[in-house]
Amino acid sequence: MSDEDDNYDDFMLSDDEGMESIEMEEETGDEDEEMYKSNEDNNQDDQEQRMEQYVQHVQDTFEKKNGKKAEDICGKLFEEARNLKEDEQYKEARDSFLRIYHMEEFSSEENIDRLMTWKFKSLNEILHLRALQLYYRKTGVQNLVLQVLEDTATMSFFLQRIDFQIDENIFELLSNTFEVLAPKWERVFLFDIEKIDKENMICKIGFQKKFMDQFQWILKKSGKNFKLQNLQRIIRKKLFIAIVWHQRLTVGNVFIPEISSQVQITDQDNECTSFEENTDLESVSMFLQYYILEYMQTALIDNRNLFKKCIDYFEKMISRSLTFSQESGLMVILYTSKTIWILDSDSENDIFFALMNYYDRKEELKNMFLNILKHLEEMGKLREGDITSSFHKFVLSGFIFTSMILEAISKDKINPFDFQQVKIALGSPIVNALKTVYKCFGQLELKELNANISRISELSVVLGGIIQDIYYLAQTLKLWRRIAQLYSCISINDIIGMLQISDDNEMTRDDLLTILMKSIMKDRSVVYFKIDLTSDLVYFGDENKVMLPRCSKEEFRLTSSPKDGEPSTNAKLIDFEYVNDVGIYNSPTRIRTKSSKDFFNSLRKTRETVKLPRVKIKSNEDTFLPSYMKFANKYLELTKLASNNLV
Amino acid sequence: MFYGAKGPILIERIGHLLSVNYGSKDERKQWAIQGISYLQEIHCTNTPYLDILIEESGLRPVNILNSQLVSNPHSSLLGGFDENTARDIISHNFHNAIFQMESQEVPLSQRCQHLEKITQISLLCKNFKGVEEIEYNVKSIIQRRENYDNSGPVIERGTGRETAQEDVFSLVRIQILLCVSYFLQERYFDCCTKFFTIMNSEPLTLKVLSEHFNSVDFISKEEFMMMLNISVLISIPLDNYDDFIYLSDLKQFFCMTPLLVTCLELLINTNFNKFFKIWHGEINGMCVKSLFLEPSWSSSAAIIMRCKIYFFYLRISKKLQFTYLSSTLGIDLEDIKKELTKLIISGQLNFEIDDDVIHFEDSSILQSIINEISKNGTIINGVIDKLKNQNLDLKDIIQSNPVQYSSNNNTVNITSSESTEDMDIDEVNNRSDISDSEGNLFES
Repeated sequence: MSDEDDNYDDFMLSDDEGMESIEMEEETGDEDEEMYKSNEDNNQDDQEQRMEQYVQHVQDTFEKKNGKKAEDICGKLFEEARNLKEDEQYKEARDSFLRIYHMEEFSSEENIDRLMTWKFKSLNEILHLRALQLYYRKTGVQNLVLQVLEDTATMSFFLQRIDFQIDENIFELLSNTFEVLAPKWERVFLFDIEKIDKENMICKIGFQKKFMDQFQWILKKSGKNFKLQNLQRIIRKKLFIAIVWHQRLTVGNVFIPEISSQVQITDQDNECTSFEENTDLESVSMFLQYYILEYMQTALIDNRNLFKKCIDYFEKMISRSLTFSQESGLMVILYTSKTIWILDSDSENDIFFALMNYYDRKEELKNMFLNILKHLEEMGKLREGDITSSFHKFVLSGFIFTSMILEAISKDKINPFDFQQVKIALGSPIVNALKTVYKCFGQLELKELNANISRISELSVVLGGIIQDIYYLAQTLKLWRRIAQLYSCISINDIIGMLQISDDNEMTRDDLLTILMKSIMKDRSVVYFKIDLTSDLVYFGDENKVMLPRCSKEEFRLTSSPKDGEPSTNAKLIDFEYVNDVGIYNSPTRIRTKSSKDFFNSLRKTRETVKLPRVKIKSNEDTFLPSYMKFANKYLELTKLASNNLV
Repeated sequence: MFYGAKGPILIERIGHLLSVNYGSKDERKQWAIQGISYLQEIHCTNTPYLDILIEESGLRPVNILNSQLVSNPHSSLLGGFDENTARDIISHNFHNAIFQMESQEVPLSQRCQHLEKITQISLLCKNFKGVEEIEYNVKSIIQRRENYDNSGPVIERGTGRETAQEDVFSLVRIQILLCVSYFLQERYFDCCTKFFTIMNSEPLTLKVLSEHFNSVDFISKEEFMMMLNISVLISIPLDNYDDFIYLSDLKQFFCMTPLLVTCLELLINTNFNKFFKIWHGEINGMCVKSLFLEPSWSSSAAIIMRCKIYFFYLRISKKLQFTYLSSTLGIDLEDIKKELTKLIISGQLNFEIDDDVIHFEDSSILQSIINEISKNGTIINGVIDKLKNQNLDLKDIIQSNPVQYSSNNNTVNITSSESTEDMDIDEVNNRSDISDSEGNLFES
């Protein structure tokens, strides 16, 4: 859609320009002055030549008639051609424009300047003529392409001849033409080409490459002119994009030295200058797609720094502009990049992510997947036919998987299949497969879960991390919900057998021990347990809640702190501080707070409380201490009293 | 190696390295020479480290005494102290140094900087009482400052502002030094709690720590961060690491010390082996060579962390082997045996050690009472046995020598008749039977 808009704007613009020039034609009386003015403009730098020029100008007036005539003709022809164009008589329009181009150049210098401008404008118009057709016609583009390329050659040749020595406007007009003939590819993604009409796309990209190749020579020009540099940048960018796409569509693999070196160069460039100056949305979008593709194929991002820089810049640009943020294509790229970033960071042990709660991390990931789905839907790309592509499978599975994890570890139970974006795809093979996975997970059927996930073969690389999380979670849940509730004593090997995910992926003894230890540390073990590490048995049940220290903390403090006569090094070991640090008397409790102040306050409180917690008569759930503990001290005192009396 | 130390702290650092016998012989020689040349420059050879410096450097003492006639030492060598104080510090005449500092008159705008210096000396001589006093002082300064700030904005002039700024930094640094003091006292929990309290109340803390922490004069930023790392790892319970690492207001702090995050992550994932590789590798390496870290590290820090993990294993297991622990944790078997045994005994834990196997032994909370009662039982048994024997003896005497009994020994007669009045022989026998069985009961 936007392309059309752009074109429309473009035409309106050139119309206005045309009008201006026509108006200028009519003001014949002021012609001399006008001419003089433009002359002055052109030669602002060399003021000294002004007199000389003026003399020349006076001389020129003799020949003026010819020039004026030529210009008149130009104007007329141009207008004619434009009308023809509007009537969609392209061939005639082209002929008219060509007539302007072929006009003889015999007038004096100033006039030749103006003539050249006309010629340039005409050529430019010719290139624009077929742009729309070129990009929206589905078939028979070949001939058209050839013709446009021919015209382009003419244009290129012409430009070389005049060497940009005309109006400053030329740069803008040219870049405009480039944008029209080599448009932004906003609705297709490098990483999702399975559903693209390849032949057509190759043809267009091939055209873009050949088209831009014609202007390669401009890149060799050196100059401080900002506008020229700008133009060179556009050419470079369009060429790069064409090369990447062409490679992707024909060979498939874009990770060839030619392209990756280009990406590296951009990175180096950006280290000298700021990112903003050098890069625009289009090329950043290209880089992001390149990285996404890299991740999709290898589950690795080589240059994480640049990737992150690109994402940040891209996001900043998009958030700045309302038009961009409504561009679903861009948003899909943005969210996909962010998703990839999170996935990659998870495996890379990024410090920033280490500081993020597991739950928060997964939640963010889920939201990213959902956003991608939403924007794909807006683009109309969530129809059943599209869902077979691996990118769509990736997004849908990612969303379902993360939802599954969140559902298991939090209280809010939202069925991911109730989301509108998933509902649209209901009935497609991938969603059916995901439904089975979801069911197996709910029932904690580990082997089936594994079998079903492996059936979606594309995902094992890209979503590897999440899949491992799911297995781990399923194992933990099964251990606590199924096994621990049933058995009071079971051997480690038997548990391993029950928690086996697949035959070829053996769970080790250490894996199980890690699950057990992590569960107790995170206070996630539902049933209390003890391990006999010598004979590899696990005992489940509350009867295993026993006091580790022989006496209470209170008693310990009474008996141990004032030790007279003992060497100080020995006393240190049974120091109160030390006992607290080792945590001998701590009954483990989680501290759920976000503020460090509260956190340390509650820690201090547990360290400083010496008295036993009040024992609940009903149950011993919250404490390890048996109820008679409370009076232990008194009993002891009593017996001591007795023994004192006996002696 | 010395974190760019320049002042008297340089001598302390060198002295420390030499006295813990750190590094190769050549390295030590080099340090010793560096130390001696410093002493020469500052015209002070009166230091407790002098002997070891001379010994390690291999120089003859004559050389040192010769070089007394040089111009005044450069001020950068004084570590921010004046000449006499610096010499006092070098010669460990700390009390004099503090006394001199305290008696000096200082402009109000430099009070904190002055106080910072005093704190440094106090820490060097481990005068923790003095540091505590300084803490009160700091508290009142901060309070006054707050009142001052609330009373209205003050327009400060160009030059005054810089010193004022420097003074504010000093105030923050003193508070950081308070944490150092706790660490030196091996009060690890207080050390990190104090720091996070400062961080909460003083927004400049992290900035000062990362940008205005001058390692030339005293402790370096790296050493201090390591103190915090160690304190955090030691004093936060294993079960709460997972809560701690996600505290959102500490994000910035965590980003400053990736090592801590790595360690916490390893511990959270119960990857103890890898953790101890860091603990005994990187962390140990840094601690041993540091003047500030080494004492606490060697005396308790290193071992507490190990005990913490041992205890975790005790918590989850009924039975386990030393050899298993040694191989899973990657700690030397002998060390584990020694430390774990000590832990079980000193912590009075319900575990028994049977050669290689440690097993849970539910000697319940009443065990000590039972012990006490059985002790009473033995005492009573003992008394009864004694009585029984006496009575038996008596019986023998009576039976074997009735004549003597009736005619000669009146006194015996009286006492024995008294005793028989008190307790019949049979009765005693019966009683002792009962108490025997009771005694057995206790003994069993």
